[in-house]
Amino acid sequence: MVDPDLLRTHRQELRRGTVVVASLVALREPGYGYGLLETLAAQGFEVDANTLYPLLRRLEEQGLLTSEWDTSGPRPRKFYRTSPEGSELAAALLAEITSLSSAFARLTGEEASP
Amino acid sequence: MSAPATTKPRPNTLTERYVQATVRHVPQAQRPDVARELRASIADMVEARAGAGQSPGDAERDALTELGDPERLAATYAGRDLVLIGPRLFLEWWRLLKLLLAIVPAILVVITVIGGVADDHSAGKIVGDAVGAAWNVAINIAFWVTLVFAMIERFAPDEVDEISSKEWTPDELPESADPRGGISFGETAASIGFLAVVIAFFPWQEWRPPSIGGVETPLLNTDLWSFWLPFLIAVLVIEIGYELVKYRIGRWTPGLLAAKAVINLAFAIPVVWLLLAGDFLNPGLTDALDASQSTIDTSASITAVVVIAITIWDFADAAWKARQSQTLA
Repeated sequence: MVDPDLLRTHRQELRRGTVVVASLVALREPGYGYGLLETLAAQGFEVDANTLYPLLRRLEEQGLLTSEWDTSGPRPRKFYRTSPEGSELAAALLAEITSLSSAFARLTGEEASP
Repeated sequence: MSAPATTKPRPNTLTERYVQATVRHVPQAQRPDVARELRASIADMVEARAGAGQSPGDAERDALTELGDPERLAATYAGRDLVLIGPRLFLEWWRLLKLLLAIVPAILVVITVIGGVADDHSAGKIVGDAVGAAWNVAINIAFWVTLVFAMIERFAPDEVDEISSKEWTPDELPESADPRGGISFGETAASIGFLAVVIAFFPWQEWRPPSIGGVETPLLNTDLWSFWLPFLIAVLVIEIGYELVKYRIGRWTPGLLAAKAVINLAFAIPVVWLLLAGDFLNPGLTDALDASQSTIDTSASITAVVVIAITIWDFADAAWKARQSQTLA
């Protein structure tokens, strides 16, 4: 029976980088802070509000996202969108995830064989 | 869309207080934008919760609780770790601190003692002054070193990389793998400290002598100052140098052992000879202590025996340690 705290620590470590990739992918369509939070949550990416909002600003500083204030709706919202560099980076990171997936498959496959 | 030159005062809501508390810690240039975005995000969070059935007040409260400490949020916005001295700088800070704390207070103690003796202070005052000076300088060293490193950590990230990027190589390992046969820092520091005390003893008993029978009486023969006491002090100073060399080498070698033998004998032989000849102690002690000459002579002989015993023991201990480090090599 695995200690729940231990499991939580390691799961967090494992998922730590995935929010960046997920955000860059999701923001290929323009989105705003809270909307993205809901989208990610619905898809199974656990992320806190106080992590995501600053993350979006930092990704914008790094040139991976562009932003625009939309004042047309009932309340002004800052919309983010993945930039071309961001899209390239996302593709590279997704490829990384795929190759990791295959690597694990090979590893567990080899372990399982007698 | 440009901001008006003076913004109208904001309502004193929980949300607004939170936003202000957060952006206070965000760089000036980014404040308006962060504030706007944060207000909008909080409003979205509240709307979602209210839609799920919570009262607006509770929803607002919960949303802000979820966002957490405003200062912490601001630090996340800035991408800054909330830490005084980070992992990259920590070891450099710690090692520098240990080095300075090992050397500077000890030097200050010696200076204070010498100064106190020269100014004719009482033993109690000298000890008090020395301890006070050592403590004071230690606190100052700890504070200023820490402050400098904390400021580097906070304001000069490029310098951090320079300081912490020096690659470690195996050349920086201590010379000896054996923790017992090797020369430890603590052992060397203790020896040097002890030698400093013994060196300080000689001027102390002469210029601020203890009060025996109401009269201030030096313990040692004052004629000795013409040659022997300077000689003994010189031997002790050489021994301090020897301890430093020994520490630098890091383990016992035959050469170190031989040097130790020579130094110990250079100290012990004159002391023993002077004691047995009755020339070591102050002749005035017989009157001051109101004791007979034979009592003084017996004491001198006993002291001589003790000196011989200590010298032999000290050398045997060193030889045993040297032997140990060789058998384990």
